[in-house]
Amino acid sequence: MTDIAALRADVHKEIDRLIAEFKAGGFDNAARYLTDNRAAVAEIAVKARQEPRTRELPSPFVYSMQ
Amino acid sequence: MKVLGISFGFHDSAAALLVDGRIAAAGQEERFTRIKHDAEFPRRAIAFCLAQAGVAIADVDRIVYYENALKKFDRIVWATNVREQQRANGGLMGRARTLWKAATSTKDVPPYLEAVTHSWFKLDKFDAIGRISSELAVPRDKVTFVDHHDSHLAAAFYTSPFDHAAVVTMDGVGEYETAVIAVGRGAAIERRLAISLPHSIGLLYSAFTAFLGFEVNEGEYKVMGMAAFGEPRYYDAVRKLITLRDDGGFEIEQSCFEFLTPSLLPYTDEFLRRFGAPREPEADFAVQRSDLPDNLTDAEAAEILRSSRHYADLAASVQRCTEELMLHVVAKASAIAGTRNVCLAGGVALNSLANGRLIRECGYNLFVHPAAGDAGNAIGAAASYYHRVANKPRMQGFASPYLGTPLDPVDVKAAVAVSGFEEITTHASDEALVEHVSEVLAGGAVVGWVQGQAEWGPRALGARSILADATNPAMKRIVNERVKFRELFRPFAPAVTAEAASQYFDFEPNLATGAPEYYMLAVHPVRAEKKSVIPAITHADGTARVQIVTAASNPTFHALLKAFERRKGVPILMNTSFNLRGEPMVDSPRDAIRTFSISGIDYLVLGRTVVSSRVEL
Repeated sequence: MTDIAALRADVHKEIDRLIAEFKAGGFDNAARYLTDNRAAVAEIAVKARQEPRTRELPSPFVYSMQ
Repeated sequence: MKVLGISFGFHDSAAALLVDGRIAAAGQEERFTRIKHDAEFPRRAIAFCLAQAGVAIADVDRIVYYENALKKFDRIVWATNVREQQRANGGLMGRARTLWKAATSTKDVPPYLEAVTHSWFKLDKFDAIGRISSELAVPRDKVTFVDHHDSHLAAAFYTSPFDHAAVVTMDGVGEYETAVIAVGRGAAIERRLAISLPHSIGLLYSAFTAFLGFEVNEGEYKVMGMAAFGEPRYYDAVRKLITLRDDGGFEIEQSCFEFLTPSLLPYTDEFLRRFGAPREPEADFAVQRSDLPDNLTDAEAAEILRSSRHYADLAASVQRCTEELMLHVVAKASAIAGTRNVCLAGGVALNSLANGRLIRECGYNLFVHPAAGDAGNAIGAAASYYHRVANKPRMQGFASPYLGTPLDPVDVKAAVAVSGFEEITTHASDEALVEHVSEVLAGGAVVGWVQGQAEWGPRALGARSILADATNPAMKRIVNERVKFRELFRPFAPAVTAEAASQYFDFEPNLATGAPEYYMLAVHPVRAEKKSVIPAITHADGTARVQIVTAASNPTFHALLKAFERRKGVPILMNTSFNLRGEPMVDSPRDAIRTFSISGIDYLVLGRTVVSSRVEL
């Protein structure tokens, strides 16, 4: 399996786990978002995981809310 | 039982270790990494706490994260959904979008949510528990979390000296909540009211902070400082944005703010229509012609004076409205709890002007957690778990704010040896030390003062301080020009012996442990007849953010104030944090030497060792 395929598989596993955790916690907004948008979220996650873990957030205001 | 509380991932990472109901150590990551407001995993703060207590990570019974990451993400999705529905209904700008139509590609995810999702995956924010388990090499089931405002409530109440109190938290936002009223009794905290996003007094204040050209999470103090130069001419306009409810809660009108899905700025075009153009960061500020350079034309000077007045009036207006809101919420909380004992936490609790009014005008017995913002939630998370999950008896209250890095004489010797400074004196006693330091202070010197364990919280309290003569009218300018490089509208604070405080300031100090004045968290008027005596610390509106010092709270600092009084007749020193602009407070002797070497500080005091930048000591 290529690195990117392995990463994609890991991300899908993580999304499965997150959906289960969100559901268990009663966090329906997040659970529904991940469930309904799984393919898009997986793409976002794969892209994010390929980047260095630096913080480049637009403003302290946004940062403090996220 | 050993409980490690940690906060990280958003701003002001920190760690605190609770050992059998006693705060053994607490530290903020920025002090170790030298990155102001460092949000990274607090590896060094944790290492410090464990070393300070002589505890191995394997011996810690529980590690507690300060908020519920999954609930926070749920809020972010909820907020996006609300905003998208508003857009779909044509209520706001932007094309309609239906969030819950399944997205087949990333372009179908609303941009705000895409950006946050990306950020959360990139920085591993979803799995804070896993991150902690991995970073510390501990089993996952040893790590847990408490909600953000439960951490604030615990930091406020369990570290207070009160057995029974109203407990109020107010901040920007945690998961969903922005403010909570609760009743604390013994080891129990009972919630009574919660306010949730989008209604947030912390975010409203931050929006004005950004509008006034200051950095959010850093510049709120500057708004308070600027307010002193203005009149609340925009009070009605700002007050219209706030509805105070009879139950103690409040609502914020949303047309002026973007609190749900902020992309860059927290205010809207409607805000600009009501309050005008935002102030440029670092724009000139002056309230009189003599404050401005001579080379400006009259027209240029007049424009700076006009705009300065406008923005100062706005600062005064939002400050007054914030105070009014805080007094409203606390009054209801006090009535619900049936006590005048009040505990505050959350970033809004650092509004020292409001705290002063709560003490003077309302007569509350106030306790404000010294690190009221998210750093304090490291203690709060540990304390919440200790009482509310482990069901342990009430922990010891906050005995001292000096919980950080101790001053190690070996480190002092090593740092001084390689410093390149040659004029060095090491005194044999504290008595000799304070006589020497008071002499140079009375002579007009600026002194870097490093003693004992570092402070917990954002205020320098005589452990990592820059000290100077408060009676010298030029001292504010001198300290600014030599080391602080701050905006001229920002005041410098005084440290005063508790026994003399009421002679100089218009309040009666509560000498009980935990009074906000011990932590420099309340502003009080300088007595009219004393304003000319202590001009360096008297702000434009005749107030000062006072720190009281007793022989019990900080013996060496108290002795220094007394020694200074013997020379100048006033037991008051200007006390500002030992740091350069944009840097965290110094922590180690090496940090202090570095700051000393590149600033205009005259003397550096490390324990009993005095280092001079002058040729002759």
